[in-house]
Amino acid sequence: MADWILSVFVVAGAVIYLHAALSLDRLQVGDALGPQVFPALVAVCLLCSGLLLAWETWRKQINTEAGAPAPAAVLPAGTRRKERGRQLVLIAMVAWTALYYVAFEPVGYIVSTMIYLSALLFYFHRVNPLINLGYAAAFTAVAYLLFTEFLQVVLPSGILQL
Amino acid sequence: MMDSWHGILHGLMVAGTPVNLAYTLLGVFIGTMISHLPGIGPSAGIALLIPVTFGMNPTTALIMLAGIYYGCMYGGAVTAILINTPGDAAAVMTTIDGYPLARQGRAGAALSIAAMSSFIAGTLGVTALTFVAAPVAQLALSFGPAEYFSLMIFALSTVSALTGDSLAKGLLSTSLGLAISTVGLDLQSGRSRFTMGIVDLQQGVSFLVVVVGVFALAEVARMAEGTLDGTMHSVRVSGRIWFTREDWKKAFPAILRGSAVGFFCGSAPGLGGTISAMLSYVLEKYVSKTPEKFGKGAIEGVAGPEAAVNADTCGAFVHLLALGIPASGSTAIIMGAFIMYGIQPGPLLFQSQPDLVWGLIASMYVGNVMLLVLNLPLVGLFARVLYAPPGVLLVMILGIASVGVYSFETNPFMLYTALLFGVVGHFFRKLDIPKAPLIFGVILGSKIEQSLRQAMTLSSGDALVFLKSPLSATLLALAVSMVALSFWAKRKTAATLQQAHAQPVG
Repeated sequence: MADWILSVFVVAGAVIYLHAALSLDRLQVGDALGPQVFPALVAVCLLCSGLLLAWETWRKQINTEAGAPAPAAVLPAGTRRKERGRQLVLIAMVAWTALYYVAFEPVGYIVSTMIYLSALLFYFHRVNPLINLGYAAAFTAVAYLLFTEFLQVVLPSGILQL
Repeated sequence: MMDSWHGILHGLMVAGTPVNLAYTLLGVFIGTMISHLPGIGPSAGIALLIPVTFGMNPTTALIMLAGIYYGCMYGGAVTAILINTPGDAAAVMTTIDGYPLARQGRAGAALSIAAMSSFIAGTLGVTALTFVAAPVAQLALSFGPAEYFSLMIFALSTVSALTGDSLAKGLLSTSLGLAISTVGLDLQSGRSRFTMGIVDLQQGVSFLVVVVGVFALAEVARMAEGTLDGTMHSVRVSGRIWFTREDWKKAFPAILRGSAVGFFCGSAPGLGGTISAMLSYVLEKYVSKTPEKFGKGAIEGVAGPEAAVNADTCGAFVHLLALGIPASGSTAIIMGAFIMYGIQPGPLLFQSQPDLVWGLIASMYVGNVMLLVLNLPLVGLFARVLYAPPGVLLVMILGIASVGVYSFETNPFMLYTALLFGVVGHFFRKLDIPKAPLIFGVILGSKIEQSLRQAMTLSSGDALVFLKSPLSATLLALAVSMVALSFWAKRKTAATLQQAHAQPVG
């Protein structure tokens, strides 16, 4: 099922990309092709890959139906719950990381990184919270020194800026 | 031949400076450590560490990044043998006999034979690289835009056709990479393309955010799932950490055969270490007098594929240095690093940057010796990295990836883009879409477009220019055959081969 959905998305994306490519300016002074031909060719490749994927998925489905009976599509309730739990954790991780990136400059590298890493460690490494705080502080300090002193990168000071 | 001798002697002087020696050691050490971390392969490792090399001398930086790459390939066997999980995709064949050997209490023998195979194959591979790269570069100097275009199309078709277990998904990944490369200002007309009005996209999508997102951040998601499942089981190294004379007698011919297979596969664009290891394993089983032992702990089943993987690494550098075409996902990332330092790999590199090319090749001889010295006596010590808490590791990787990406342009937009590509990489894994073709597309996209437009301009818009040159026509015919073969042939992936050969070990 996932491959069917993917092939639909790819074909739709390829059509949009092809339209965008063909809408580019056709100015081609001293250039036989101009800026739109290569993207248009890539769009055609994308379109072909989407159609080929649909064909591959259809073939697989035919072979499965002709051969051994397909495995039970319904997963046991426990496995489903576990899978949903894992997905929720990953979504929360992405949201937490996005929040960290938004806070990176206004709050500053040191404070935002300490909070970000500590929270993740509390969840993924369930030992004494002080140990996790120590890991977060040590990582932040080493990375800060490495990038600012050794690599001469200016990391944002944020709220620590006096 | 004489040029190669002069070159390598000059290179040894460059690689032998204290700074370069120190960074070679650091690179191979980091590579070995990374290979011991389940889930983090060479591509993610190199991607994470590229930002740390900014500001360094490019020769030193590339020596270190190459060290990470072959250090990773060298050590990939450790996780394959001890936890039945390859440290990098190429070590997948090593699990078939390596893990059963470990379960029989012979982990030390398997690890030491893997280290010895890697050393011999690595040294033979670098020697071949030394004498093959310069003549290939000389030949490539005669290539025009049409030949270059066809060569890159051949590389893309090979990687699309042979990576993963679906031609459609390989092609999708490559096309997506090419589409990403078209974002930003068009170099010839100066027009913006597909930037959606976002000023930060005018310079294009940075290669660094793509690799960090797709490889490092997506791998973190995989590690997070593994941590939640708590499914990792390892065999501890105990007893004798050396192989027997009997083992050596069986392994040595396998190492030589594996080295030859690996170097030839590495020299072909897109084949990569996994295919080298698969071919070597099949070859060893075919020539063995006791094929029934394969899958139950045959030492040749460890020696051959390990040698192939390490020789493949050297073969891949022939392409990268002499033609400017990557041969695998990891060399595509190293090529991206070259471009980020303002160096264009390719035939002219041997003339314009002899210090860099020969210094890099010479450092691989030195690095191989360092790896042997590091790995043989310290294999038990390194294996302890395996027992590092995965929860801490994944958090540290997120931390390094974030600060590394930000430091590239000190622009938060890079962070958002990397996160987006992390999500894309996660879906790639879930949907079994290979990642290497995407990186090939991103790296080669603008070069392919430039070659296409130059060739068409020089021929006044005659598309037959690609068929008029015999070399270009041959490469295009090979590219088409590669895709056609992949379309009709029944694929046998490393995973299916592994399942077919692996025996349940009690």
